[in-house]
Amino acid sequence: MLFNSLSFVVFLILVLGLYYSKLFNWTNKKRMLLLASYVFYGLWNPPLVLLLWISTIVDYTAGNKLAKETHKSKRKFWLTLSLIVNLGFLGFFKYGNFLLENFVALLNSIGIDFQAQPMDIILPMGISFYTFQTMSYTIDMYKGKMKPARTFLDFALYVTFFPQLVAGPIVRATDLITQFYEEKKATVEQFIWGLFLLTIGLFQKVVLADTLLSETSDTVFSSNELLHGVDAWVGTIAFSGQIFFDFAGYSTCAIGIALMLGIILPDNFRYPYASIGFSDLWRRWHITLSTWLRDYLYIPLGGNRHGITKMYAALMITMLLGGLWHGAAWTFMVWGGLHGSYLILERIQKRYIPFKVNAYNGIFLALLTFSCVNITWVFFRARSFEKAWNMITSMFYMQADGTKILGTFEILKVTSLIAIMFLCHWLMRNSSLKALAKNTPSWVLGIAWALMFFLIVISQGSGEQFIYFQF
Amino acid sequence: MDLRKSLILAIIISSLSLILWECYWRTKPEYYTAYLEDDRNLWSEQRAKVDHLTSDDVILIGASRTGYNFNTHIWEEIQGVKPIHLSANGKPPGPFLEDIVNNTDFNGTIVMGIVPLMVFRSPNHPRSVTARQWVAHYYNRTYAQKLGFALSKPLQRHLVMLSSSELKSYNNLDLKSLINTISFTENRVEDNEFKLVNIGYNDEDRNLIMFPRLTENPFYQKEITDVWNSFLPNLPDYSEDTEKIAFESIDHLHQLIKKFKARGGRLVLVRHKVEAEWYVHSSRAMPREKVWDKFVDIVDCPNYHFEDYEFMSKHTLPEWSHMNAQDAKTYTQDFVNKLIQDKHLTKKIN
Repeated sequence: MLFNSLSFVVFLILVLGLYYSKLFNWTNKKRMLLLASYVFYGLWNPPLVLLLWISTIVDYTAGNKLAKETHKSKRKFWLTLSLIVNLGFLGFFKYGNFLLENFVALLNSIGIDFQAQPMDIILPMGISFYTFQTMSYTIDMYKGKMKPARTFLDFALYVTFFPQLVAGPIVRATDLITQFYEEKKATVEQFIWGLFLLTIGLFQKVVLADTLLSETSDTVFSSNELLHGVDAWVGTIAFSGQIFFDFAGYSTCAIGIALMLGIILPDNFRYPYASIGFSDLWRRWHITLSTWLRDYLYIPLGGNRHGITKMYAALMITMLLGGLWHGAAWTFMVWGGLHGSYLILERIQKRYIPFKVNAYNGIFLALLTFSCVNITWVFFRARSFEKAWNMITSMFYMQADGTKILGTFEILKVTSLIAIMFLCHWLMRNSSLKALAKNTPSWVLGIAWALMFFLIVISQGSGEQFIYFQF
Repeated sequence: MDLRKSLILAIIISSLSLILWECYWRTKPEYYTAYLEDDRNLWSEQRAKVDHLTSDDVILIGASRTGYNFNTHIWEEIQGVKPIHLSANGKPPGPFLEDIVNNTDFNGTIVMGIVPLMVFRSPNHPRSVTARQWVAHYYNRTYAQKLGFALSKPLQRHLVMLSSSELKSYNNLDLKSLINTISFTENRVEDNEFKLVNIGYNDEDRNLIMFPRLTENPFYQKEITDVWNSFLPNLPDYSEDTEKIAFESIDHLHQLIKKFKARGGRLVLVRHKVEAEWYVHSSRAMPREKVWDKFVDIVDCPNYHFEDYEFMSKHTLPEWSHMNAQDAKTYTQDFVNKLIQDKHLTKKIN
């Protein structure tokens, strides 16, 4: 089910009605939330709920065993079982065809004539998110960082909690399971703020991403022409805006919906396009994934504990795998590789040519970071290296007579919107929406809220899927 | 900040704005009416019925002319069988025929409207791709999508402001379409956009119904014929390339039709009337003797060309291409009677 659909509106009203009714005690409310979460997921493809159940049972069992078991090899066995099941699901459903294609290409390249039928595999929505979430539980249990979930119900709800099930934020067990132990009820202020966040999230998705930006980005990235530089840049910045509003919109909706239930989810975005440098970017973009990768991949790979070369290698491996997490294609690996390179270059710069960031150079550095990020988005969005390379060629004016495909108004629309987005991120980079709202008169907030709602309704979103659902 | 005050204010302002928005569009009844939009969801609901049809049943496929010119209610009155309307505005019928032949056991009658320019061309044309997406939607639609569509029905039936079609009509009322009507006179690229305003609406059996404004008022007729005039003269003349693509397409259809006939199915081909520039340029781009006549010879099916029958050509088409609602009723009545007379249909009522 999509947040930007009429069926979700009805679903949410029903869930909230049952949640705040006096029909259930806290345990039964959790059961209701769990059932609602399975309905939320199952209305997309019912049989795939089975994967959620398997993941839940395996990780709950592994967690309990890890809590009691002291024998090292047995502890390793339970951790390995959890990793095999979760990564196995991910490997089969997400990377099955990719691995097969590359295996065939490898055989063909060494002269062995082999062809394989592509496997008809459905990618279960949100599989990358919930497998990472459940793996964090067993890994933390293995490391003795947390106690096991008190009940199976608490754990199942942690795995399946519908607001963040299919596209995050990826929540750590310590942050979410413990919230299920005591009865939760949003205060009136929390409930209204949650509703406000839901409106902002939908506004970002339906109006900004789908209505104002997606068409330009789709036009440019689906063109087979060698484009004029302006068109290539405008298409790329349109995508950078689209993916931010799409994904941040989802996260904001998720945080808002959870808050309406009295559950607090962590921030996933903090004005990332005003980042100064790439370490800053990854503290602001998809925060729950970047911290997951830091804690469960980069640090176990050695982090910065074994010298500079190993640190660079760990960084690069982490970012390459981070790229692959987003999709089963080499273009995603390049995207990750570019981010890895940026991070390494930034560390080299800080080591050999350090300088102080101040109010004057900050915005230029942010703009430079944003421009470099845009280059990575080309590989993220393009469906082939050929297309990506054509785009890069056009963006750097390496071919003179590129085709113009975007109209003047379209260019003006996208550039204005992206400029406003960038300035908003810059002005808000050390602040928060909550702080801004606190300093805003109620009537101004009310008008802004009404305007967003009005625009969401007249956009008549056709229920476009969120981009990150495919990851 | 008082969030409660903000919420109350937001509810009041947004409600008033939406009421005003709805009222404004209701002042333009010549262009807008509240109805259940003919999109891939409504098509899929009709498509689902095919799995339960018998050999006595009828399916209509084709593009907008089949949609506007045939009325299933009149058809039922005459024959006693209500056809399933699987025609689709702006989309060729090939992918739908392919779906019925390859994915169902249907062995009744298919009446297929042929617009040569649309049917005898590359299967990779965007309109064919969209038609295949509709078919795919029928098979892949999720329970959430079905539920969402069911919930949207009462809203679509009652709110004019939800007028928006998948065809991207130039006067759609969704925000994206409204923004896309903005353009500068000094545009950096040539504006080749097909700016056709919606010429009709549909009932829930997917019969297309022309807006009354087009029947009598030359101003509104010209609004549409100007658009036809903007692209019809640019259609390429019939050439070897056209012939090659057309006959690849004919060959593909022939295979499907053979398979359908082999299991007892009956196919009737229809070439609906066109007028004026539509007639001139479509005859130039795909002359009847070079394509239609050869096609009907190859596939060997009962066929009806508007030039051969007075009842098919007697109506005046307000915008050269489609019939108005009243003429569609007469045309359907005449057509069904002719099919019964020619023994291609059996009357199921007295």
